Amino acid sequence: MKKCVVALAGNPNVGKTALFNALTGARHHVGNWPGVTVEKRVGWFRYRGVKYEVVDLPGTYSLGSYSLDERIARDYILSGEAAVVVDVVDSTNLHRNLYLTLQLLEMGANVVVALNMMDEAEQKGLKIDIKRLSSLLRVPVVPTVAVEGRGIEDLKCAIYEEMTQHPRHHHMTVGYGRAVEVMIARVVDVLRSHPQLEKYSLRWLAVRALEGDRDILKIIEDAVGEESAKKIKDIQKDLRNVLDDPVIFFADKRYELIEDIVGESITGGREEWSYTDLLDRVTSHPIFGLLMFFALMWAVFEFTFRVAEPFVDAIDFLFSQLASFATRNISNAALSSLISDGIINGVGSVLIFTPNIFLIFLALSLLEDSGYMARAAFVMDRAMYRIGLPGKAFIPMLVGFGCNVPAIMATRTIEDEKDRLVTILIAPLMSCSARLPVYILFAGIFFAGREGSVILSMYLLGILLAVVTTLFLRRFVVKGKPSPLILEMPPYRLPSLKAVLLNTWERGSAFVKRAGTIIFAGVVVVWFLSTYPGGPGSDINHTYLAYIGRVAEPLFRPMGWDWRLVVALLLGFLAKEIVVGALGTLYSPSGGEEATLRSSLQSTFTPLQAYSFMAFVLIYVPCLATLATIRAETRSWKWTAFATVYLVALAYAVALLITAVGSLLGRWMT
Amino acid sequence: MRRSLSLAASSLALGIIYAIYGVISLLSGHLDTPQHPLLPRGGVALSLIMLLISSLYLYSVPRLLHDDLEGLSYLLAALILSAIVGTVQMLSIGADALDSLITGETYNAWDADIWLGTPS
Repeated sequence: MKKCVVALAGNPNVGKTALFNALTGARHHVGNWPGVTVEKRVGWFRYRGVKYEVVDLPGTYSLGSYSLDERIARDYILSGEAAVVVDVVDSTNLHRNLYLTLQLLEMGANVVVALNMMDEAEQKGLKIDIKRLSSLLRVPVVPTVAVEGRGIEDLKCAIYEEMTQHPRHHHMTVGYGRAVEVMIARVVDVLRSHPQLEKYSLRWLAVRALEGDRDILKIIEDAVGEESAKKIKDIQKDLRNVLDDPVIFFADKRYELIEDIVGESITGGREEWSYTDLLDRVTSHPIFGLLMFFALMWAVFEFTFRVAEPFVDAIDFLFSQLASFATRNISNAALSSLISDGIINGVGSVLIFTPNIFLIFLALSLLEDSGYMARAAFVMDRAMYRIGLPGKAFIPMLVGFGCNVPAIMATRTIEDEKDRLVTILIAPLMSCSARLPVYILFAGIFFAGREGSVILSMYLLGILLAVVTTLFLRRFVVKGKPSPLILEMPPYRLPSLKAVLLNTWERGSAFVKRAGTIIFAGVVVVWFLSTYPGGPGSDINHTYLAYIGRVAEPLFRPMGWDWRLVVALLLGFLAKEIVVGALGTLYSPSGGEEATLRSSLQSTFTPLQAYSFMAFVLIYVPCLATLATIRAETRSWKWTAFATVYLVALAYAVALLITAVGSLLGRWMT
Repeated sequence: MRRSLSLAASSLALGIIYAIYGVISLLSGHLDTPQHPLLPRGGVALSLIMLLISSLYLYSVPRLLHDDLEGLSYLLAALILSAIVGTVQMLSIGADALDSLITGETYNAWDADIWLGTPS
């Protein structure tokens, strides 16, 4: 009996697994691809006396060398093991799916296109001219509905015919314009004389080499030797003189061709746009999309601050009553001081921000669940790629607004080690929820009526510094270009209330748990150090904490911060929430019974000092847990130390700069 | 065609209102004058968002007149953005009212920006 290997390729979520099952039934086994832990499924079926082994390739959007999945799929097709490659295409989204198809054709694979999910295309009113599509692509195209088993026999027949009658197609080629075609031809000339490369499509190798695919360049270098490799590098240089970015250029040309193919093969379809199509025109627009993103972020912070205010005041009132109750009813001075000044004031000053934390997570969950965040990633990617960040870094950065620890862990989705390291090092600059209480406290006191804008400026400052840091790292430390982003846009939908509330609760309750554990422990330590050796009621200027603070105070004198702020910053190394907790303990007793933390701070600092302090809190090391995570994820003390030193130095420099510029402006205006 | 005309006219009217409101509130932020109760209380950022909403409305007008679906896109985006901003403003006013009950401070937060935030 004859044998034939068939590979199944396709984008994720196109029904590839359903097609695999429809072709093979239960006849399959699961293993791993050699050397990696990516699942490999192999099944088989018989048709007209031939036994077909079906290899399910990982779902990919392209065949570059950016991710492990792409490399596995590409290397398998390059190996030539598969006689036929079935490209499973989502017929409702030909624009996106045909990109992979074109790449397979450029590679010279024997392709059969399975136009899957035809039922959904029909429901959407799309009429696909199968014959026209087939003639444009110059490969067989078979309509299928894999989940219902429709079109499977036709597909088997097409595979059989492709294997027996058309061992090698003369496929269509993508035209890249005269100037670039000349360069492709020059590379092909260099490759032509090398027999080791005969099994590959030389044109495809040339295109990939010009795109800068490192794996393909390695294959070429190994085959052609140094002298010929140098010629190719010279051609690459010539290309870069003509094009700003070859990767984008080649992708654009493929999409231009796809546009033509889709335009010619989809006929009679309705011209209706869904709400998603309508909104995407604006939310994915390079300018309006970006402006809308900032407008929505402003709305999130305004919502977080202003709507939470009555709840914050209610909790504040509750804690002040509790503290008074404890003071009145506990006769032991030390215990009374510990409970009212230490625990209730300290933990309370953090817990009063619980409504803000829950509201910010509620707002972000609403945006996530509506499908907007994918658009935000898309509009941000253009800018991110230019500064040297991979598009995939957006998600960890977004997670970083909640907590930097999972943000750093989320960088695991970034395949390229350098991209990942850069993202890990900038993640702490994303303003996590633990910093929010500091902003809310200071913005509420010093910038009343403008709190939303001031808090937003902190988040924007974090993003700006992440950009500067990335440029610095890419220029001097972790050199190289980031991977491009390929993102699936989910349709917009009304957020599910249950999912949103659950998500908000999971994230928000973590803040409350931290208040009950590490912050509780932190404020007790702060209370002890700020009460002794004199004991309760003694002058705070003669406590252990004052001694420690005064040692470090001269360093921060240029910013005008007193030793108590310095101490709060030092304790903030443990966890940022402790900063407010420590301020609650350090400032509340200073003005007698009438004094509150707010009024104490207001009488001690200027808005400029407050703003520079907020900036310092934003930038310097988030917490010990973040540092431990950086160590665990980079497996390097060197990078952990680098992150610590860099962030502290950057925080100091920015705070100093804000003070200097603000003072100069103040003098100039008066 | 009639539907397109009426949509374009509504979009133009809303765009002009938002533009006037945005510019006035932006200028009032720079002038050292007391805050007028009819002006939004979100600072420069909210003024700029007003201008963004205005530009979305105005951008949609010529496209709506040409029966281009893109016009509908900008109109829809403007409506959604103004609804979000309006909702946030309305919630803020409600929160201020609640806060006055808790803290006992005088409540004086009614301003017109909520109505501009939720055109329909």
